[in-house]
Amino acid sequence: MLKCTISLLGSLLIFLTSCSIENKEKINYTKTDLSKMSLEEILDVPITFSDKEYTLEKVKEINIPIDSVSENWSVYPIYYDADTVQYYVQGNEAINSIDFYDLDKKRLYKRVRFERTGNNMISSLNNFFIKNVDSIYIFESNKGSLVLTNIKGEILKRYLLPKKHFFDVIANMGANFYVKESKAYFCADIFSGMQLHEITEDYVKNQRTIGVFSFQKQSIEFIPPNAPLYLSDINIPATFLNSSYSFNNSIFVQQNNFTGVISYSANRENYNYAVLRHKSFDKDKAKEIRRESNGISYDNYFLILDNKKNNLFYSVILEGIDEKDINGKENSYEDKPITIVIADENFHHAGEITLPKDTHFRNIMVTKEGLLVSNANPKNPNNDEGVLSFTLYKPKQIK
Amino acid sequence: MNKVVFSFLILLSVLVSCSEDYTKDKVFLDTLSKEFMEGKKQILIIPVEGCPGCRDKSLNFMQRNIGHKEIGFVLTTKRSLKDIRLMLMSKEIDLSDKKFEPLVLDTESKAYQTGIMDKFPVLYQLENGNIKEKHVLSASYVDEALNSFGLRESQLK
Repeated sequence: MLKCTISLLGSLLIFLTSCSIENKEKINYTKTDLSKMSLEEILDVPITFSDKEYTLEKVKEINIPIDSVSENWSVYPIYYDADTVQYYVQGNEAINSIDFYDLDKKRLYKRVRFERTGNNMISSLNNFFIKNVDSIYIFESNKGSLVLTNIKGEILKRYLLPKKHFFDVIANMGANFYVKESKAYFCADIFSGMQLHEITEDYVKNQRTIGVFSFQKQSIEFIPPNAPLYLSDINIPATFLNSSYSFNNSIFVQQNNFTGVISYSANRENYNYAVLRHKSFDKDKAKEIRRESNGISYDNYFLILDNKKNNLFYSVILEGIDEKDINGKENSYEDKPITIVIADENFHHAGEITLPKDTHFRNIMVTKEGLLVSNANPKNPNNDEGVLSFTLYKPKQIK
Repeated sequence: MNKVVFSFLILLSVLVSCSEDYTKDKVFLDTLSKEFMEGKKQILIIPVEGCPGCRDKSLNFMQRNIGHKEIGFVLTTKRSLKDIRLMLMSKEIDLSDKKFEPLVLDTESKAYQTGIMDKFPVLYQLENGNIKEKHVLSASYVDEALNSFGLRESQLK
């Protein structure tokens, strides 16, 4: 009788415990404002898995010969879909041009050259946005201007950002700017010119992280999402304060470089949140980070990309590695393995793949055909500086 | 006696822990020729890739001070000579100009291999051939650091 009672009580206890674990796992973080959490709390938020599962399959390689004045990698790679033709586009600083490469015919299609001096000068081709062939916007970040040009290289209009906001917006490989209707959307550089000790909770909580330039008013307003409070944590190194962005017609997405926290919105006002990380994310190691830590040892959520065609997102992660390799040689940023996490429309983890080591470079774009990944890793034995080389990967549904 | 030895060891360990570890930096500087290093008080290493603003300001500084007997300049790349050549082309710097003869091109990525380079220019201050200070010229520090030379400040703008 006693044995029976103990067994019964034990079973009841196990049942109750399993119920509480079940409930804990079912916390819905989508509606939780993760931006209000501390760094410690954020790192404890688990990944939510999707019912669907995908992987990426290698489809083909695309190799395009380039001339002696062109690079086979870019600081700001662009994919442009002109319906019947698809282009890989990059700024060519050496000769001050924007170069359009036809991905089907595998050749340079058009080189749009600009002057370096005079009224029609373009001072920097590091950041640009192609709305269509008649409307190409070049962001001269060093001059605080946005230049409207076209495929003929004609300078149609030069917009000047308000002087006080010259350095408050940025565009880079992980945060391309975007033009829609009469507005340009930028990542706000909220820490521009600040000392690390000035990044306090009071400062951070009031910062909006998207800068919108109005072409009509020639003014900038800053809109949500607000900067997450955990950015004021004194242990986050400066290089991890940034976020990557994806802007498109239907959804704005932001992913923090260190925590993997996603903020997304369809109306650009109300944001939902998610945590998107790779499966082997080491939260204990992340919690040990210090301001002076070497960034190479930690995961870097480098790019967030939108695959509208398949209703998926890709988070491109440069995984943390040891400071030295097995032979005692210093590892560099280029040695970090590239892992791509595939997410469904709610940013639930729907698969991941780590790309082959020493093969790819972080020029990665979503195209009509799939995910285009540069092969220009400096350690790739096949890397040829005379060839622009990509591997095309396609998503494949497993479940 | 033991107390004295112990105190000395503590003091020694504090001194050692306070001094910067320039082992990697020294390995890199040792790859540079004796002729190049002779008489140098500053060495500026500029990466082709990385922070473009920091690079450009450092390049401006280089253009105005190349040939100065106390300052040595090194351009480094993760990739190849082509990257250096194209970057210089974009700045309309002609390497065939005789004034650039003292410039060292690190085309074998030694600065990266030795682990001294990330994405910002690096400035060494030397004393009797030894590293006295090392400065990483990040975006917020590059102007201040280059101005500290007190050489041609007005031209750094």
